[in-house]
Amino acid sequence: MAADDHDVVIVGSGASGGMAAWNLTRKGAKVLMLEAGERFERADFWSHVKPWEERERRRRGERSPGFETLPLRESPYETLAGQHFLLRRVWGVGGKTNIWGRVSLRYGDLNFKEPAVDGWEIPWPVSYSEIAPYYDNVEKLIGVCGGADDSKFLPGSLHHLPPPNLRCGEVLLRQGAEKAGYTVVNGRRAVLTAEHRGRAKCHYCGACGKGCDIGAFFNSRDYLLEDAFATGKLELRENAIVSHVLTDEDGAASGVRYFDRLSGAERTVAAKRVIVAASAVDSTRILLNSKSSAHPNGIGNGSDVIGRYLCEQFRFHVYAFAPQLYGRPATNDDGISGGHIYIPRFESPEEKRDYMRGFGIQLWGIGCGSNAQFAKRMSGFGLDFKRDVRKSYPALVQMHPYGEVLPYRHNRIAVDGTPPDRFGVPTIRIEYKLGENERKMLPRMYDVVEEILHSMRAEPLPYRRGDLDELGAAIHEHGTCRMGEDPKRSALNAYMQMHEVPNVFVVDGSAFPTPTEKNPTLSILAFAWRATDYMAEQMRLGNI
Amino acid sequence: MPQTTRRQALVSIAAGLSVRTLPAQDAYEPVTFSAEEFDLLGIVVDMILPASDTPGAREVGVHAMIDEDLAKRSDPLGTLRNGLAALRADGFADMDMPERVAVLTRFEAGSGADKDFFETVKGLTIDAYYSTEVGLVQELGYQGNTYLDKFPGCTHDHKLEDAD
Repeated sequence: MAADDHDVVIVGSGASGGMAAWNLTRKGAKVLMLEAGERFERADFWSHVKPWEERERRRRGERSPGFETLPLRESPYETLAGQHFLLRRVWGVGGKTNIWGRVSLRYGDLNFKEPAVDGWEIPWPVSYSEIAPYYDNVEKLIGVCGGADDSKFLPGSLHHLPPPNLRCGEVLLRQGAEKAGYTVVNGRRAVLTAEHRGRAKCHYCGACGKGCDIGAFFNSRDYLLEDAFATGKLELRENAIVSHVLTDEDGAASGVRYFDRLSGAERTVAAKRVIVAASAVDSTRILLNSKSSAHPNGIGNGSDVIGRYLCEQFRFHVYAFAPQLYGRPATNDDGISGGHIYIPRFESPEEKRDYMRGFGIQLWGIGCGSNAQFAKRMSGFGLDFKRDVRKSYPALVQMHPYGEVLPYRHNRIAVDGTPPDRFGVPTIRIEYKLGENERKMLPRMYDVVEEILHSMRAEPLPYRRGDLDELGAAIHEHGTCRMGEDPKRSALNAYMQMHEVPNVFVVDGSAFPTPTEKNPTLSILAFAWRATDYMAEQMRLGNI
Repeated sequence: MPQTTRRQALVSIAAGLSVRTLPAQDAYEPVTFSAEEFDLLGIVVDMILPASDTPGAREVGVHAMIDEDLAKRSDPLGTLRNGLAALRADGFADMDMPERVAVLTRFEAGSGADKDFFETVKGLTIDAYYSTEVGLVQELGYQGNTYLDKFPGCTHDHKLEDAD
């Protein structure tokens, strides 16, 4: 094993790995970060390539960054027959934060304590008052726009940047939802609507999904790794596909094995402490493959919970037209791209219902967009059809409810019996299906969507009640290396430190015991910050 | 600003660029479809989105874009080929327009392969047409993907009752 004097080796450079590197380097630790992909160059982003210019560019052989191509090529995944799961990963510096949806919602005690109320699986080992200061710090660091609302369903913040103005369809949706008795709040998004800590503000080009050419929304590379590099304490190795956490005879982590993606060479680095932050699915792959005599079931997995309890949100999409907007002149509705409003969860655990947990409703894709996909759901063809599409274009509204999927033991990521990757390392199989609770929640989600659309007098495009988006499409995988108080039922303690292997921390979304109904990145940043504060203190005390 | 005025302005601007999406459109040699399939496809896409006060799908080369895109993927090429073969067998190219409309209307209302073909070709036509400058800017009035200092949001006063 190569001599190495790094204090900490971090696997992964996305939200959680970036946060860990940022926090530890500023506290003086020397960090080696291993990233499976390469740096995405801002100059290559197609942020300002118009839709009609893309074809001509492709004809000339130009390509936009293939954010999602690498993991599927290097580490494909299997599913069981009849259990399709869409797995979307980004390998490259910054990970999924390069193209994430930027929705930044605080979890609250409603989310953390609910499993203790309804009795389904384990509660979070952290309360809102413990994590709230970290939410404050993360919001101040990265810049999150939003409103002044505050409720038990969605705890408030004093640090929001100004929320963007609403599009016409959002004005009407808000009126309709409020008339029907639902609370509508400003969307909370990690987009700079004002200059923030020396960073330029958003210029409302609406192309965030192609990568931001000025870094006006949070991404790990610009917001975390840049600062970490400036300390001189961070070394980043790209194209390092980590396969195993290595252990000594006592079962403590002693190093990391990886394969150089370009040369194919197998390499190991010594490590005094390891942070696994490769996003839920790839972290789980690494942990389960890290078998030894001390850890026959994968590192830190004596409890057999790692890989299990895979959960995220299930969702569907309903499209409609606001007739108030038919035939209006088209407007520039880009805004900060995605929804400027949000309907938070509104059901309490104490309410009598026939299902547990709940859902929130996201509202993106409203108004004049850069395509006319909605027209595929309109009937007819010919001149009348073309006229209808033009008339309807400014009137488009969309509703996207996100429901919490319960953690089930049988929903899991496994590495047994899977084909090896080109380095001979087992790839993963995802076993995932919804249960009775989701089947009971779904009709209620449709009821609420219909109630709101009716209240705003919207005309829905054809849909079938009960239809779902692909499972996995929320891209919020959780649960497969969960934290908890009880070492028999969880792999990590409240500081994301392995119960069984104290010099290993797992700081990404795999540590979350439940998916909640909310998008996780803000919480991943807050928990990773808190975990690495604790880790640095334990290092200072000489405990790890 | 009144919509017609702006649209007329765009039409006059677009006059100089309406075929820019496919410069050598007339000379396009299909790489996926046979010449006969390609001609049929051109008829169908133009029936879905015909010329109005803006150019139709064939003029902006939607059939050529579909041909180009499907060269790289097998799905849904089979669906299109089968549908075009059925149209050919029915003598679609020799029908007058009311007869052709009747065929597509029957396909849309039908089931199985006919409906699959109709929905597939309609979806591809929508994707291609509204990705062109003609379809997106001239036809729909798209103004996005530009630099704004402030995002104005909705500037008119909307009420739910406006739906009446």
